[in-house]
Amino acid sequence: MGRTLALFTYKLRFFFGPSLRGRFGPLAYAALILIFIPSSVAIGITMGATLRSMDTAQSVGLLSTPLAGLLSLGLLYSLGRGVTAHASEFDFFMTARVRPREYLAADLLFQFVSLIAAGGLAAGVAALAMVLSVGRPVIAAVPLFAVLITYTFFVLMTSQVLVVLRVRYPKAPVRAATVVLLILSLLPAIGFARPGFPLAFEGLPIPPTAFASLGVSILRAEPLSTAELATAIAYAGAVGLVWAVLSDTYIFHGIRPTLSAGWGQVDLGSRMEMQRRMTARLGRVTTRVRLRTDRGGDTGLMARLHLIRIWRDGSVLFVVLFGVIAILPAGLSGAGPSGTAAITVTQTLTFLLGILAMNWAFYERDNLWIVLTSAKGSGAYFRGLMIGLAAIGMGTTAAFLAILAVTHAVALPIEMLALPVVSPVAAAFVATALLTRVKLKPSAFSFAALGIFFLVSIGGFLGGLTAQAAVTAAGAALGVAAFAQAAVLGAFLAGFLGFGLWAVTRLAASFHL
Amino acid sequence: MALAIDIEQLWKSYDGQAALQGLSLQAYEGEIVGLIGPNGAGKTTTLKILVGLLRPDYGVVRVNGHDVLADPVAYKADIGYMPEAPTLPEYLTPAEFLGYVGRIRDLPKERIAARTSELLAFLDLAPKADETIASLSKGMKAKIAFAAAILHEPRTLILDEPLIGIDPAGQHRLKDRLMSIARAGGTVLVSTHQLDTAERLCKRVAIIHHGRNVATGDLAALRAQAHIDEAESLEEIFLRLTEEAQIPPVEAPRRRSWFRRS
Repeated sequence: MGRTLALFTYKLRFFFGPSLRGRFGPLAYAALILIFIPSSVAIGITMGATLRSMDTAQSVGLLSTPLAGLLSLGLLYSLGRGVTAHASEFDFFMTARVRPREYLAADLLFQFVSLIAAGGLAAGVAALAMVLSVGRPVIAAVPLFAVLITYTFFVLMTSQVLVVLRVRYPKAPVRAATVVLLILSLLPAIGFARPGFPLAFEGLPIPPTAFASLGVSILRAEPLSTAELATAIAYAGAVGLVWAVLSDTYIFHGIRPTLSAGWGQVDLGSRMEMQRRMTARLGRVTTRVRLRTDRGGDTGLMARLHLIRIWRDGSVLFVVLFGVIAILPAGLSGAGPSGTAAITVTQTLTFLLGILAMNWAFYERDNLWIVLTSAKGSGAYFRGLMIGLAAIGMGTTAAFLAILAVTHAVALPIEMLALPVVSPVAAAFVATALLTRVKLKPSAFSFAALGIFFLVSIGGFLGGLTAQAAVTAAGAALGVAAFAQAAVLGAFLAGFLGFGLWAVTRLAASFHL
Repeated sequence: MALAIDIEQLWKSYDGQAALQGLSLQAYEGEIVGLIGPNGAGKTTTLKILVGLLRPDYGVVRVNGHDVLADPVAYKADIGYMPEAPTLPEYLTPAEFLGYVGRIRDLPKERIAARTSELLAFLDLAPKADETIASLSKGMKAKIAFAAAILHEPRTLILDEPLIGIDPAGQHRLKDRLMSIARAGGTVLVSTHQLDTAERLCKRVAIIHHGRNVATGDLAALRAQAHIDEAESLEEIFLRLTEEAQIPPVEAPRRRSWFRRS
């Protein structure tokens, strides 16, 4: 127990320490936690109100969806690494007399505490809002929150068990089984968008449904269903038992360093190794795309450099994930194109660009010594970064528009289009401008990291809204046709891009490491 | 011989902690000058100021006649730099990286491929040309950083611990290349902890301690300054001179004005 506690506190200190000792102390974390409270209240109230109008089976289906989402994230994590480990732990702890079980217990505790510390308050507030919304007393939020906490622990434990199984039985198709589980856990969610879909959560004896049933019973003040309770206990107990049996398996040779504050990125060596394995059957996709340095202008070269970086360093997985999150709901939704769909896509792509900007600050910034010790300025480098980020955002928008055209055979009106078309450029500009000024400590979450993430998103949105206002004003005040509105949008986009590139060049002139 | 690197009265502190205390140093065309000193002596700080990655608090730095503080960009066309622990874009292949550096260093596009191939072959990295840098060993990465430093054939090379992690054959090749650069009239300023290497490779050696240059010269001059006989190695000279130089820190001069150059 002593060693487990020591490992756990080391992980906590390593991950949270630099930020807590920083200029703003715990304010960065407080901001991260508090920023989700308003949306948690809104989600809780909306879900509560929806549950009131639903019968028990539908309610179980609704509550199962976020729980299935959480499980799929856990499964996705286990496909990557599933264990948080920093390089220093390999050198100094895994070479000491530490039992795998001690290490895994410390890791499980660290993951659980970090997750609850980051999202526990928001989840608690959402549970409270839901309880009040359905007309239940405040105290009912406690068992509801307890169900959620237990489920979270179950998901983390499942993820770790899969990692141990993968290391213990390297020839067994554990990864493939995990992928199947991942797809199965998400499949019933399609029933919400397409009511005729044959699979639905209610009635399926899977963990999200079992835990959601317990939640519905609490919210409706109904006695707990013995069958659902038994199912939940059986799943939690089985995973706990398997963990207890497997956790002393020697796994240190099979895990890789992952602990860092970057999003979607891990140690590059292991990422490359993983990618090589993944892409071996796909014709070595990542290294087939070459950076041609003997072609194009300086800014174009730098833009291609950044796109190659994102393609090869693992960030592309985040691009794909966010792209799917952004465009699939719009494509699968039974309703036609709406302002909400455009807002959702914009929100997602600006978040994506915020994450890519953070990743640049964590992993790429140090490479700038190459540029800074040359006689060329860093203007082209940052212009290339802005264009690269804008291209990724625009690509997401283009995919969104394409899927709308395919699934609904319609195009968005110009006013609606303005938001997802201009926001990528605005977000890319804000991101690049910030990166010329803000320095992040590697492997440490900080106020600055949070600032980059949210300012990029807000800046992107504001840019898009301004374009939308300009296009709408042109339509309303001047009475111009759609074609002329499109011209206004094009001019706005070109003007904004030109201004952004000029401003970034000016800011880059005084950049220093 | 013309003066290639001229550092006078260089001062630099980090958060009030003095790193350089009036360091002066000269290096001439056609010579390899070694910088040796204990950890924290100020060697890396000096080199980073020379290549424009740090601003000094006070002092004059000239490279090939250019005042690097007055015009901090143009002189870089003639320098090559290899940092102590180079961070490289690991997502690129060595060929791509050198091509990228070639573009940044204004190497003509049509020469990039030939020069890259030549250097990769010279450093025994040709078989790894199309693998990502992430998959290479530490020594191979160091060789790539060295190739990037000499890619554009600069007049002045500034190298911070260039031999760390490189195998003996590779070290031999690198040293040969450095000597040929010096023979061709180039200047090499190299920081190293490998005293035997410094002794054999460098024409002159500067011993840096507590942010000051406590002795510069060839081996004979350093022996004379340390008052030790001819049989003693550079290691003995180094130990003697750094022991003697345990001087209390001196008050730094006023920080240079933002508006007026002193």
